[in-house]
Amino acid sequence: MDNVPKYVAASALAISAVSRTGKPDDRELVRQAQKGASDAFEELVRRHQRRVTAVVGGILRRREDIEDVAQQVFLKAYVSIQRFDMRSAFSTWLYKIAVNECWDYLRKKKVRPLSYEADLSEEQARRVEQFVSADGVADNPGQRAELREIVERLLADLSEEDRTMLVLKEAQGFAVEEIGTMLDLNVNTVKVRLFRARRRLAKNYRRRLGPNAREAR
Amino acid sequence: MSEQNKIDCKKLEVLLEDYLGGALSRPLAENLAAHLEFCPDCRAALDDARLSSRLAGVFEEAGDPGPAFTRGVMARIGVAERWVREQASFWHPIETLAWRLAFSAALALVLLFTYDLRAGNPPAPPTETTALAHQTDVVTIPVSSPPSGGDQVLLAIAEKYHERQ
Repeated sequence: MDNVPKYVAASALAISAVSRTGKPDDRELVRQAQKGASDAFEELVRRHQRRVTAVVGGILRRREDIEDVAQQVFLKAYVSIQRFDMRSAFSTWLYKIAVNECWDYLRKKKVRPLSYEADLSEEQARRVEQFVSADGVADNPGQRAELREIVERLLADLSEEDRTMLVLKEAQGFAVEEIGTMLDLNVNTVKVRLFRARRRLAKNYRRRLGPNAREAR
Repeated sequence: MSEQNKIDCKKLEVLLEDYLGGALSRPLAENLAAHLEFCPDCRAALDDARLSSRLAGVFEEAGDPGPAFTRGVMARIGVAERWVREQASFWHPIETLAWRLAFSAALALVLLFTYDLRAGNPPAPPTETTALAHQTDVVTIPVSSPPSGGDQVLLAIAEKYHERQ
């Protein structure tokens, strides 16, 4: 159980707890929703809204759009639930819809990641260094927001897919297998791309530190 | 580091990713640790990956959007279903009328075709006169006045004989 991510263990416990209490599982709820029971679908929304929002948030990272797109994902799932044949888990099917919806949204909006070429200021570099050396601990919400913006800038050089993988894995806690299913990629491909994306991010970080900060290191 | 070693190290990326996430089995992890001791490239790659993990940790895990989100989704579904019903109620009478017209037109076409088949002029069957003429050139008895007895038949044969003469 040591190698199992915490959230996987937590969801497994949650599922078994749900079974013990006699509440219907996802498949049963899907069957009911396919027969037109909207309350069954509402329960499915309640169960999966956090993870769907995490997927959408991981890809879009624009807070104002996340909720809107996540709700659209559930609407699409509702409309096409008759076509869901239960060959995969409902969550996998739902996350795939979420990923496709996000790509469509980015394509329609023609959102291109901004390219930042300027080096980090001495102050910014110092803050990031502090954050990194403190094993990613930043208590102050303002500081965290600033750091998030800096890391966004560093991520801008990565492809949309690699950036998505990295954020889904590191921030949203998705397993490599889940990411592979969402993006239609082999597990080993995800691992290799994740590893390379990490290296690119680190190189970009070192490059952007600027001469002063590099000297200070 | 030789070119061969670099190629081999590229093959280790999958293992390094698992090693980073603590997903590698113990024997494999020990082998990789031994490799890392003498391979500066792989060590640097692993350090980079660790640094990135800390940087990406600045993004927070999304929280549950709460019951307002669920209500929002169900409201959207309600609006979509209402729209579908409205569309159906607007087009339904037009669709019914169109189907009726199509059925009537199809029926009319079938009737016209049948009438045309029956009213057409098929080739006339051979008359009885010509049929007899083919059978014998000795006696031709008009169909309009068939011979009423044996005498009339004999007279007709005699007439025919004289005509030949």
